[in-house]
Amino acid sequence: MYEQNIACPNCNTNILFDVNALLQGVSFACNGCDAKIQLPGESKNVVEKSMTEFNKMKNNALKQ
Amino acid sequence: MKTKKNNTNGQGLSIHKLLAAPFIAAASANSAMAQKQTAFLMDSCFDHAIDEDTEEEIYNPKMITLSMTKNVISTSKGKNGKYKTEQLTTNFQLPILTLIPFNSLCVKDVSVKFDMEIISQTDSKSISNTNEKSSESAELKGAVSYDSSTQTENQYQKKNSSKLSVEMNAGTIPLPVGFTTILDLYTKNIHSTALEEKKV
Repeated sequence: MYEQNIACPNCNTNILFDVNALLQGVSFACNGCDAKIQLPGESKNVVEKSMTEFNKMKNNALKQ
Repeated sequence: MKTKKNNTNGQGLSIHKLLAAPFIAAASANSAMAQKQTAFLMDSCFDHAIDEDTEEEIYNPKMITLSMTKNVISTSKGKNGKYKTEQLTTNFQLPILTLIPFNSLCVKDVSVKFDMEIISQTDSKSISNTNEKSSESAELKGAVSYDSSTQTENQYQKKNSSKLSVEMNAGTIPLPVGFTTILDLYTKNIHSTALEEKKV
């Protein structure tokens, strides 16, 4: 089960998602209105870079 | 007067320090992880700027674009005379921090089992001599002798055997309320920025 969620801009229902799946091009549907959210190519690089940094930080923190 | 002590393994270890050490280590690890996560949050999720008027540092959230696609009923009819559905794509912006799966990494459980079996085995010899000759004989027979020389020999045996097992489990704890409030604020205020229609 996905743990992250954002409010649907259309009906305000929470849309559960996973950022790694979003990066792979998966779209997530809103249970309230069936709208689908997806990460467009223009934002993919920014999110990918942040996720790489985040994972690196997490691994370094656990090593110390 | 001569005093000789044989220290065995474990001598000088304070139980207080021994028990506190794993908890202090866990607290330090938690603190280090929290600091790293906060530093990442401030550096990677916010743009820094200086306000020209107040000269204060301002943190603006870095925004990214997500697209939302939904089916809508078109106002125009199709060839068969029925209303057709169209896909409408909306791009909306939201702060990148709403997408990062932040969690409070921490040492969740620290279980310390302290099992110490103590068998005292300290050797201590105190020999006081007023007469060197009698001291030699007294050394063999102990203090039973009525010799003018006073000699005492005390023996303590001290052997420490301790077992300290520390069990630590890393896990996640709920995010700080302040952080979740910021996240909540951003996620509930997603606004549309542009509309793009695609006809199927």
